Amino acid sequence: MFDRTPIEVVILSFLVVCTYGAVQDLGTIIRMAQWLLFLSAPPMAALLLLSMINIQFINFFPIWPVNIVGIVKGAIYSWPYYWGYEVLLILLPSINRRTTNLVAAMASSFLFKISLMLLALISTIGSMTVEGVKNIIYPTLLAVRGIELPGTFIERLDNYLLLSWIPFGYITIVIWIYIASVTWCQYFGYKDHRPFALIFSVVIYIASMSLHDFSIYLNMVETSRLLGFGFSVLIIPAAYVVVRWKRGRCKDDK
Amino acid sequence: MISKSSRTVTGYIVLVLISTLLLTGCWDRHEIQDRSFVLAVAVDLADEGLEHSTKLETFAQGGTPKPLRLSLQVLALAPQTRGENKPSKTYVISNTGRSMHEMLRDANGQNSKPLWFEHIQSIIISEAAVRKFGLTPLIDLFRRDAEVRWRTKVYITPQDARQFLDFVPPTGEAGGIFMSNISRQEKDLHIAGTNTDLGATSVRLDNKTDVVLPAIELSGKQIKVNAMAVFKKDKFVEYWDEYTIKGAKLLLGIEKAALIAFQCPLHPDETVVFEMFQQDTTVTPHIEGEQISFTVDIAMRGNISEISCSGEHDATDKTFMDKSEALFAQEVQRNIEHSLRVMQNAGVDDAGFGRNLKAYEPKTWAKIKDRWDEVFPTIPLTTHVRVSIQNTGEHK
Repeated sequence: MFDRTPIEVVILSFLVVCTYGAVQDLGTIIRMAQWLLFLSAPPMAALLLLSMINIQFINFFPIWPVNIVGIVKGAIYSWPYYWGYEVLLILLPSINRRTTNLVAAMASSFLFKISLMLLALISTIGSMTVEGVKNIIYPTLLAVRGIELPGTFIERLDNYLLLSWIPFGYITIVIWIYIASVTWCQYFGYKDHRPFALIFSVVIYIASMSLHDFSIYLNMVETSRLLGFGFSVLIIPAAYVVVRWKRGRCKDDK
Repeated sequence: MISKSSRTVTGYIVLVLISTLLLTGCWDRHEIQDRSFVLAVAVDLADEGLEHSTKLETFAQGGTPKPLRLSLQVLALAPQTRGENKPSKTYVISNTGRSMHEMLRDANGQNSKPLWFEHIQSIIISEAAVRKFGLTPLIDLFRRDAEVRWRTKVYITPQDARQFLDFVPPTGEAGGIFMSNISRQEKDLHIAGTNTDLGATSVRLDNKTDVVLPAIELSGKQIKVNAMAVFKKDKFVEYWDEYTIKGAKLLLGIEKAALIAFQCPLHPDETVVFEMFQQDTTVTPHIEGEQISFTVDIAMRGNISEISCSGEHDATDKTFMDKSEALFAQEVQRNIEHSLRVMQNAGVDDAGFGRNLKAYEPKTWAKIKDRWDEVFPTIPLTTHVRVSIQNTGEHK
């Protein structure tokens, strides 16, 4: 996209804006997330819905593979699509419980994420088949690029998908930096999370520059994929069991 | 005395005005007038189309062979005055080499502006080139390049592909756009214009299924998309004519507006034509032990569009209608059986039987997928066609 701009400039300018967001208080970040959600989600959903004109239902079959191991492999492989949702688990305790129902907030967050992902899945698999998607680096972009509305001048809609995607990327990074900063700030007994946000932005910059080699990037993806999958199948169930057990103990103590 | 709020507002305005100095434009911009838009690409073997060769249409490449010729149709942008409607002007530059990307890059040496590939409409590849190299290596760059559109039309020609770039359409459109638009009129063609573009071909290659692409020919000042080039995976096999393609499209249920004609039983020299405008097709696989078979049920609706012996018939007569529906159905069945025979003889599964088995009988598919090439030619098909005539036009 920015072929004449040095990559350092692209990363730094984006990171500066993200860090500026992350040094704000949680209320500001949540308002920002709300604004960006309403700014980004409708065009993204609209483009994905528009890409349905290219889907063929036969591409979804067989829904279950003959070899059941394939489902597990597929789940691990497709993990990058779901990166970042774990932040919800950390953010949710911060919700103002006097005005917000925690269960409703959590359910709607997951419902939104699942709907968007499902839409992307239907759009990509339906238009490009499983084998096609496996061979394409950015399948959602290509599914939208394939939209051609006869008799109109509307074309190359992938650019608009990218534009609506950027705010999502922005707010995700802001929340990551914010949560990491607040966690470290509390762990080390400080009151102000902002210095940690600055430190993390430097870490992110160094990591981004180091991952410019595609082979290293793929290693990072593989590691993250396993961590993410482990988080969901081990940490979340374990956390659930521990909380249930502790609640039970608290009741017994009473 | 200026109030505090006025000072704040003034401060914001000044800040916004100053920030505009930093927003004067993106240095990554590419102005339209500074680009050369490539509208069509032709790929030939380097020893084809020698009349276009010059000693400049090649480049130093470490002594490696240069078996391919890549030609580009470039739009000559010229300002037009208000109300003027000049035909589009294009010119062709050409290069030889092995790597498409190296040839493209070197072709910049023949042009005053950078070549821009975002608007490629048609890719024409000569049969000789695909016979020698296969399809995949010749379109790899276009599948990989983010600039190229997914719906770019890909054609195969038995002739020299380069000459199509010199073709000047009578409509005033640029040649690349004209050729691309031919395949977009899916309702008026007996060839498959949809599902045969760059994106669909890429998906087929990823699935390791057989590929069909429209074939194009040029004669004098006319061009015609008149057949389909058929590939076993990415290896060229043969051409299929319009009748075969029509049967294949009817079998696949993707025909939009087929014309079905039968010979009038009472007047053998005359023809009755049915224009289909709706088709509902269900293809069902059947597994009995080791035997795989398919049935296809087609329900189609349309109008009688022509009766060349109309003076002898009353098109609204019920007996004539019933007889016609039966004869149209027979013709559809005959067409489908002919197409399947051609496919099975060529060993090219354009009927989508493999895909159908994979989708609806995955266990059977898992057993036979490695020997599908042997199984496909032996598969029997039972066809059921129901034709419903909706109208006879505005005349009896």
